[in-house]
Amino acid sequence: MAGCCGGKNAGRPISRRRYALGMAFLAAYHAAVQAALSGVGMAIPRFRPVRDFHRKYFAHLWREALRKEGIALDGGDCPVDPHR
Amino acid sequence: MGAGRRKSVALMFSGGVDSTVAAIELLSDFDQVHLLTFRNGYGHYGFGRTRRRFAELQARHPGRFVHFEASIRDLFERICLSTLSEDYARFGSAFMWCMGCKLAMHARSIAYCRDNGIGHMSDGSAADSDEMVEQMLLSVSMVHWLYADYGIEYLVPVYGITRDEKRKRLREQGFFLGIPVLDRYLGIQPSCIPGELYYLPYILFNKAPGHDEETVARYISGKRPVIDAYLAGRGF
Repeated sequence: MAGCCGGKNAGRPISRRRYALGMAFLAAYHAAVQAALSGVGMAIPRFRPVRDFHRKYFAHLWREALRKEGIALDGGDCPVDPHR
Repeated sequence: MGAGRRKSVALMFSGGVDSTVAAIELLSDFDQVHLLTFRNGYGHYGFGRTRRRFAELQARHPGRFVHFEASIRDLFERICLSTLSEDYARFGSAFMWCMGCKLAMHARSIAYCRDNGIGHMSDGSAADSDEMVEQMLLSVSMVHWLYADYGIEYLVPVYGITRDEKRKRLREQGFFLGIPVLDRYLGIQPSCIPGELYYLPYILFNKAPGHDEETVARYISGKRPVIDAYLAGRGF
């Protein structure tokens, strides 16, 4: 990865409103996927590892987003993700 | 057909902007373009859009395109899902879903090319989409060597063409461009729910995707024996 500011838009500041709306969308989308995977996983065993993986991935992603890792708000400096 | 033209090339094809322009570009050097579309069986849907795009191309260039569609579910499970938890713990990122899927597509493409005597393979990788793990220069380079080891030349005909230029070309030729949403055009190619989830923080928050070159190189190298075993099993 080209640091936290690599890529076309990576590291560009976003507004607090966009961050709040983004968090709501992120939570809703992942919750819907988790619900679908839980249902499908009961009927089709091959989806169970995917369901478990998604649960772990979302927990990790949500913590990062709450800490605003790699997210620049309101024109502040682009925060360097300490894990990268 | 003019002198110096080659017979056939295969192209990984979704029907999106990049692969459609790539398909058209390849017509200037090849008599026939085989469009390859793969489904991984996990949240990957909307393949009617690809078929519609194929119909658009076919109408403009009759007889120049062949469309092949296949499932890569078993191969995707072998390459990616069989070690998903371990890989996630090891790399701390979910990039392996997208990279594993693309490697499965490449492995299946090698089999298709060898089965059909095609010596050239291509895709719509583009420099201005290099935030996507499979379109990073490093990934493209490693894939190039994978094909070379099986006697196939790998081409990226639209790598240096900007997205705006590609859209302009399609618009001029009257292709359906989909619904514009946030720098993307929806409804022209299949969707992938896991892929969307992986790139969602980038789209929503401008947060860089969680992969770096060294990690991706290790992942691709680690999967090479699985790909070789699959191709050996098919007699290549």
